[in-house]
Amino acid sequence: MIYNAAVIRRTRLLQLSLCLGLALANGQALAARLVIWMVGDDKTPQLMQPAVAAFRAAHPEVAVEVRDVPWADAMTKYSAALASRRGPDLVTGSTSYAIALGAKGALVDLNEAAPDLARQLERHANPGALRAIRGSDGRLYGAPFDMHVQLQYYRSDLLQAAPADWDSFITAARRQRFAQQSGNTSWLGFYPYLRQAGGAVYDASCQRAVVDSPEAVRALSFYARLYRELQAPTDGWPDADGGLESGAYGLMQSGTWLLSRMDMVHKGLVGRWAAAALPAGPTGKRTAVLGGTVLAITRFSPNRGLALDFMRTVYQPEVTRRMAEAALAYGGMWLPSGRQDQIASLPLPHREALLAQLADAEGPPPCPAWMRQDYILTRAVQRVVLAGGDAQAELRRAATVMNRALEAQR
Amino acid sequence: MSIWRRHGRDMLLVAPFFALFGLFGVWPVLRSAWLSFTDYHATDDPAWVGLRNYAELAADERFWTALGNTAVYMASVSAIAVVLGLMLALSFGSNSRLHQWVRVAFFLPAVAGGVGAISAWKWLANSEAYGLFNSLRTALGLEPARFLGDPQWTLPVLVLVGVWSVLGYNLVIFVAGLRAIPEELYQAARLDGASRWQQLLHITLPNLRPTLVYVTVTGMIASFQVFYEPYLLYGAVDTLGGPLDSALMLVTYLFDRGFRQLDLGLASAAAWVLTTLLFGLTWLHLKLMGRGR
Repeated sequence: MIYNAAVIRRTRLLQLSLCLGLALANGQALAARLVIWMVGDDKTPQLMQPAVAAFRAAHPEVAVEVRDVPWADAMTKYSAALASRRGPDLVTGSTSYAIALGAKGALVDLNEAAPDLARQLERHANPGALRAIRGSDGRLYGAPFDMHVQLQYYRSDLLQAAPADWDSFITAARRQRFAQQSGNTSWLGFYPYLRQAGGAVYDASCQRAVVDSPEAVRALSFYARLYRELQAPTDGWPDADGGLESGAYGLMQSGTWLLSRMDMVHKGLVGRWAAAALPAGPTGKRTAVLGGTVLAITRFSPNRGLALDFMRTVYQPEVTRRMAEAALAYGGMWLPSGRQDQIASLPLPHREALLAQLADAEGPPPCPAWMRQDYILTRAVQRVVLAGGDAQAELRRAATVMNRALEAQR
Repeated sequence: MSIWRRHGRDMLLVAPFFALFGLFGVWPVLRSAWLSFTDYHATDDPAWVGLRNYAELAADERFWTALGNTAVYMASVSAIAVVLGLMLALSFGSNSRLHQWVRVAFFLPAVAGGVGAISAWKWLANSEAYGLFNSLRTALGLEPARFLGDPQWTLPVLVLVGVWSVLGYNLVIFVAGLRAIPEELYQAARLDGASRWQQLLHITLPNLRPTLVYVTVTGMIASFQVFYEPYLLYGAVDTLGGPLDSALMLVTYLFDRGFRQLDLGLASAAAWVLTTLLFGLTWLHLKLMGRGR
């Protein structure tokens, strides 16, 4: 068969036009796609499905893609996405990481972009969670998404009640061995005691480290007793709930995630355990560390308006409730820190203890320098707990190093 | 005939490789070298700061801790794994069924390593009295030790895990090296009345030199880059360095500065220090091994 040159040229032109048309159509389809990255495992995106369904009902032309990002990979993936300026529209991430990203201008300030949403969060979010994500300049780098706090778990057949204050804590831990499941000998484990004693890491303006206050020294001296005197395990993550079941421990502290799964994982503990808020410190406060994640919009998102609409959808009470139920359905637990009014209706054991602790919880220091300085506090804590250092001297040294770095940054 | 006419087709065929190698191999290396002289946090464009990142590294006490830990780890793992690997190869290098099974057993960690294996180690080294190591200590009448929560145990645990994971690989390479030595050399030595020790010193080790160099250099490089063992055994959401930073290695430090603190310029500088040290060590080792020829 013979083709002449004109026919070939026309055919090629047609093919080129077709390719361009397809590419443009694809480009238009991509423009109406909202991409959300959630830290967690492969089940985590399931909890977002009620929000996706509600959002799609209002925006049928927009496709929503929810992907899970393992915790171990989150920081590398997010950094790569930020560097390429082509990342997801919305992300969930730890509060400290969000503060660090927000301070570098990577996240949208909700106060400025969506004052209505910011006001709603002000009314309904957990106050501690909201404080943890607000910069010292008042900017709101995201919305509190989910939260967890520490609780006391104890063997109800061995202890009549959980210790209510520091003194009774020591007494109980002398009788029944004690273990802390996470944050042993690090800032994370020490932080509740610091807050319960009335101390803080930075002043309100984040300009000065105040970890050498008398309150902090008192807290660290008490904290060190748990390990030096009561021989609590110092591993990063000891098998504390297994120990509670075997009877190796009568008392432990761990996160709220155990509430929904304790009976499921430890059959031998059914009917033999209870939970309570942390023991009160010298100030009467029972403050726990408030961990969890934040939902934020990346600065480079080309769909900022849609992303804000999606956020508004997430925080509708009905949607939030269905999300929490979706998490329970797959064996997880999602405590909505942006709508904590929805938690009271969740079918969870020891809900009163949970609600009491959520009312007295604080996130990590909401200061941009914290991610760069947390190891300094951890080192001071470890020098006291593991190497027998003096609490006052070590905290003074930590404060000096932190303040020197803060001054250098100004 | 021009070069293009003669080799045009060949060049086209290898072009995809060079394009990919340039894009994913050469370009990132050059880019990281440039980034090491900048202030870069991923969110904005890099800003030139000259040698400031290197000066900051030199002044950071944590960097020196990481360097010290890495050096001790590297020296311990590569020395123990080479000596033990060679001893095992000499003891279990034949074709008998028993020796083959022994080699398979030692090689298994190289196949089945990774996150799962480290999780198993975490369980074995559990500080509770029912962790395997502590069960053994208790059986011997010793107090349980805090293997994962006491700085004095950190490096021994990491070295044990490191040696365990590379020993089988070294064993297999040494066995291959031993089999390449001509049997006639041993026969002649035996005729001359050489003892087994003399055969080892004067025939085996000199002939095994290239294998020894290869195993030592690759082992040093691998152990200098150690990351996931300390990260999984001692890292947590709140700390990466373990008790008193005793598990802080250079790559862990680099990860912390680069991806946790988003200080990518400084992390690039740390990466270049690591690369330079590895080049230096390898060169020195090759020089020392070559001198004895």
